[in-house]
Amino acid sequence: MGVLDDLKQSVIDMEVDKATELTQKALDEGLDAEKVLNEALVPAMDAVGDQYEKGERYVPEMLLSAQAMKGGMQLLRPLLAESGVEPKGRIVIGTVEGDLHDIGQNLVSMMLEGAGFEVTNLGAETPADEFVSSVKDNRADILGLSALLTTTMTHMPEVIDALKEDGVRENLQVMIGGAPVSQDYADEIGADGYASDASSAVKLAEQLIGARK
Amino acid sequence: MGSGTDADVQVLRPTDLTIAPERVWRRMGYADTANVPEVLAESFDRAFRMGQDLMDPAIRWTVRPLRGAPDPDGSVHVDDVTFCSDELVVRCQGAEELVLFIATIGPRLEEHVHSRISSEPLPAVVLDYFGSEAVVGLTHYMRAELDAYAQPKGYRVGWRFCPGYGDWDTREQHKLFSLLGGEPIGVELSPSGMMHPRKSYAGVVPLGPDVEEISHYARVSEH
Repeated sequence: MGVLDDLKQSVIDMEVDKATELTQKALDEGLDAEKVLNEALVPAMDAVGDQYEKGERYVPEMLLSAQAMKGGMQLLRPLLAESGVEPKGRIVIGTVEGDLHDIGQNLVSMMLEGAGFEVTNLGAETPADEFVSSVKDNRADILGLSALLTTTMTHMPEVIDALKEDGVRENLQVMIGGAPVSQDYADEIGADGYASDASSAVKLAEQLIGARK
Repeated sequence: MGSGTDADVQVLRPTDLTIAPERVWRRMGYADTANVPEVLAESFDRAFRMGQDLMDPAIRWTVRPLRGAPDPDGSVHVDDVTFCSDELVVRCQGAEELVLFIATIGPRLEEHVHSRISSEPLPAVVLDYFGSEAVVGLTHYMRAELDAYAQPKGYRVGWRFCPGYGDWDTREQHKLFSLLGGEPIGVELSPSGMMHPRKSYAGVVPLGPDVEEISHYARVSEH
């Protein structure tokens, strides 16, 4: 197997240190950073996501693979920036105002980064105006909103309204997640999609980005 | 117990709360740990030991008589408080008293998770799963106390139910907290009804000679 196949497998096998070593090896062999990203790291995380959806692996293993990916990305990122390679998409993500739960959206952030997105994670208790500012500052393609309570999910439509008032809703895709929300709720509040877990959040983000192009 | 003073509110601080590792594994999705990757097993062991040290479990609880039978209109009356939930009414059928409780494992575990989720996501997440299972473990601990109270009175122990579940609005946590008085074991409540520390939960358990007994434990309201 070539170095890219080895690198891909090391991410799938959750070998964090080996993934970093193989990324460096690939670069030392003269391979382009974008090629390493698109032919090893991203396919590895796609495979991991597929396994998760089939119930063949669970969140802790996804995290380990994401860590392996992250190690490789740390080497690739400056090279990608130098060569002007754009991320797959720019995503701002956060938990809505009044809600402290952030483990889920942190997992989603890691998986989105692993999938090649540039992620700005605003953390918990994010007011609507901060979402709007961050979307504009980061030229976000997608906004991800998380809520874990029925009493805080009501802030999601407020964020969408704030985006409309500021004139940024039209060029933005909004996806939502969290225990009390659903596809029906996404449809009700005018969001563009709902994801039930980190793996499907990545797939949804890819679909939404694809729809924009 | 049951006359409505702070003297009737008990606080338990279990020092022997045990969490079964297989329950934490199962919570993470692993029914069988035979083929778990070694790196995950090692991380689990470290996080599990750490979790035991980071817990400060406490339960604050009281028992109050129901003020009349639950109303078909969806009301359950305790002291001067009315809880509004059709599903709570169903669970309180046949109840004469209501246990009100707040349980927590304290803030240290989730603070540790929060500080490490970016730099060490795997052990942080495992620890978070541990914390969720520990909160459930408090229900088992409390059950022994409830049995000791209920059996001499000829009561059955009914289904535990919590604000935020079913049709019971999370904001009714405030009513529940008001019946438990004071600063309950360090658990604070946001305006939206969210408890902090997050690894806490609060709810009620109906008691009475004719309540439907629990056959399994209901989910906790926070995790």
